[in-house]
Amino acid sequence: MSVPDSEATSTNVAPPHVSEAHAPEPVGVHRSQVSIASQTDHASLVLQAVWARDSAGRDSAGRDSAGGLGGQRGAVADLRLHRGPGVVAVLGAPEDGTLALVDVLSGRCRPERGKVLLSGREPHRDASLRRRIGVLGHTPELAPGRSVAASVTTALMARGDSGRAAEVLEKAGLAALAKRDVVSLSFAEARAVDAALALSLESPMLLVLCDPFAEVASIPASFVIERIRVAAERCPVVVVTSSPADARRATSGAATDVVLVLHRGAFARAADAEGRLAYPRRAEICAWVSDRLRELVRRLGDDPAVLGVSWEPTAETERGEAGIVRMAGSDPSALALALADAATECGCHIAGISEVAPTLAEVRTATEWIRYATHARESAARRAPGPGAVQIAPRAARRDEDYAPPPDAISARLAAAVHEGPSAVVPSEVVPSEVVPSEVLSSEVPSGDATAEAEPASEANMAPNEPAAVKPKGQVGVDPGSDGGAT
Amino acid sequence: MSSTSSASQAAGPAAHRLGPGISGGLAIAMARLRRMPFALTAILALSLTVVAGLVERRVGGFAAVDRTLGVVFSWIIPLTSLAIVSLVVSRLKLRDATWPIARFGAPRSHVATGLVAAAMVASALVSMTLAAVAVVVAHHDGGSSLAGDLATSAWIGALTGAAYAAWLSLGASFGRLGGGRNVILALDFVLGRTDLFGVVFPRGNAANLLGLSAPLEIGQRASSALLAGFALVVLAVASWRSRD
Repeated sequence: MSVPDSEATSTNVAPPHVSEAHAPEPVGVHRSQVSIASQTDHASLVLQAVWARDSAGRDSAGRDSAGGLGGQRGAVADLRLHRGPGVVAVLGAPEDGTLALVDVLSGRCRPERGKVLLSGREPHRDASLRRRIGVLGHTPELAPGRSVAASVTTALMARGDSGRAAEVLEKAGLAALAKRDVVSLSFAEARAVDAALALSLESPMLLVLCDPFAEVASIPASFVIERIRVAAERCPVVVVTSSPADARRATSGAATDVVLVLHRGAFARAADAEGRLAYPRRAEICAWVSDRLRELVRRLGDDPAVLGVSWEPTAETERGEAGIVRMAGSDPSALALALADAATECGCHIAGISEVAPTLAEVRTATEWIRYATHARESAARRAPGPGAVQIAPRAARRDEDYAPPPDAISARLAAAVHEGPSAVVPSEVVPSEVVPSEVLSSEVPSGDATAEAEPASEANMAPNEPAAVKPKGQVGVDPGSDGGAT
Repeated sequence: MSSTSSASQAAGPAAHRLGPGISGGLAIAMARLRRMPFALTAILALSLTVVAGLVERRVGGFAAVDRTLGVVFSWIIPLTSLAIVSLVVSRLKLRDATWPIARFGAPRSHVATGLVAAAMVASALVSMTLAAVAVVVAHHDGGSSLAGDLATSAWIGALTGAAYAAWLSLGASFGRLGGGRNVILALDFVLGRTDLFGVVFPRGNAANLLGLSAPLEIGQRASSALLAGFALVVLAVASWRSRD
């Protein structure tokens, strides 16, 4: 169980809510972590260079056709994290390794490499620890029982919980399911029961919730959020989701909360201080307009804060069309103000306004850009600057041939900029430095890069349309105590 | 809600007697065996036994019962046990099959013990039934007493079925999806009739109990003890291999 010193020194931060007097060595000092857990009763979660594959396809109840029987959908590689109490929203798809992350955090699987430590103990080896881990998996896995109440009772007994099944179900608004046969439950109902059990822990050490706002039948989102908030005061709460909107909803904006993007098996980046995940300098809001839609759109078009407007009429009223307006700009507050001004001027009624969350595809695209741009900047800075100085080894190119940046003009421009020297690598309007602080993406490069430096490549490998030959290895060092909850 | 609480209160003491892990394992196994595939497996095995018995009876001779039991114990019981174990572990590795209860904090080894025990009981019951049906179908009027054959075959069937389930469960603790159970069955087919390994694997001891051939010339009492003893040892090893 001992951890090499190099591991300890490589990790970056102390968990939040731990006073300086109790601040432990960052990672791997189990004794100090246990003492913190016992003194403050706050759990800490540590991922030490965790490599894992998910168990998709192994579950007979919810067999994953995408993974096939025994096949995996995703994996995580070299994940490092150190968190105390607070919410960690992990944004990604199963192909990015979210299921693998849930599996190792819940103790279902042991990591192939590295360690998952919860207050110094490993969930997959410690049954008593698993009693205090609430898990809502990707697919429901209820304890056996003829009825839902019996299933919940079996689960509570295995947990050593004195609570009653009826109470657990009632608190989650699922009392109506108590007498149902377990096999009669729909997918969403079974997940709801699973969620009720996970959220019913009185003193959890970790909550691992996979899409807690989706397909949980009649459990109100407010209940889930409330339980997450309560738990997050004492322990880490990991919310895994593929919905940027849900990731935002799960985090309260507190300093201890953070949204991490899990991309291709690695924590590629965190949300910025404003919680933005997609295009760094772009905000989008949506408004439901009751009348005079077109007049409002015309006035919005004149406002300099509004970079783009789209609208969709939904009904014809006496005072003109009603519909939905979407506006894009650089600042959501400025957009809202522009909307208010325009609505006041034209006298239309705004029924509702909401900030539009980006889609996962947009987040991934932005992540690719940022990773590529950062890597290009670092590569150019590391190697001797000057025209044509950046060279990419053919071996690295073959190894990372699967990595391809977004094929658009910006990527090509970034790639071309590599040849012009470090000053021109990353246009600031594309990836502003405040969005990608240097701590977010480590400067570590796969070990193969040493070979890359030793083996100069041919000119063919330097072509701008092959800039992705080097795969950046981004890892997040999360400091929940810093501004914005993310570094 | 009163029925719920009374149900939980009723289930409570029983579960605590066995421990939540073992009782949970039993509950998982029972839930998996209540599904349609188990019924289909039993019906198929029964059908094959009846067909084998009718064929042997038609061939004739006083040894029809022995020949039928030979087929049942050589082929039908091992394959049926394999199907039962596969159902109980849900075609997973034994350690992974414990997850529905282990995730709530029950020790995996306890849950695995419950799973294997349930598989042994289910396999014993089915095998006992198969042996009894084989005797009834193939019995010849001029042969030995039906009741005697029935009783003897039934307990041999139960013991053999339980032993097969234990061995196959141990096999299910190997391989990413528990594929080791197929290896164990193959070893039993290949080595079970040899003198040395026949003492260890169920096939040799079952053959001895049926009066066919005795591995290492050991007695039938010794074979009974070996079957039961190895089953218990293997159960313990399988549980140990599934520990946290």
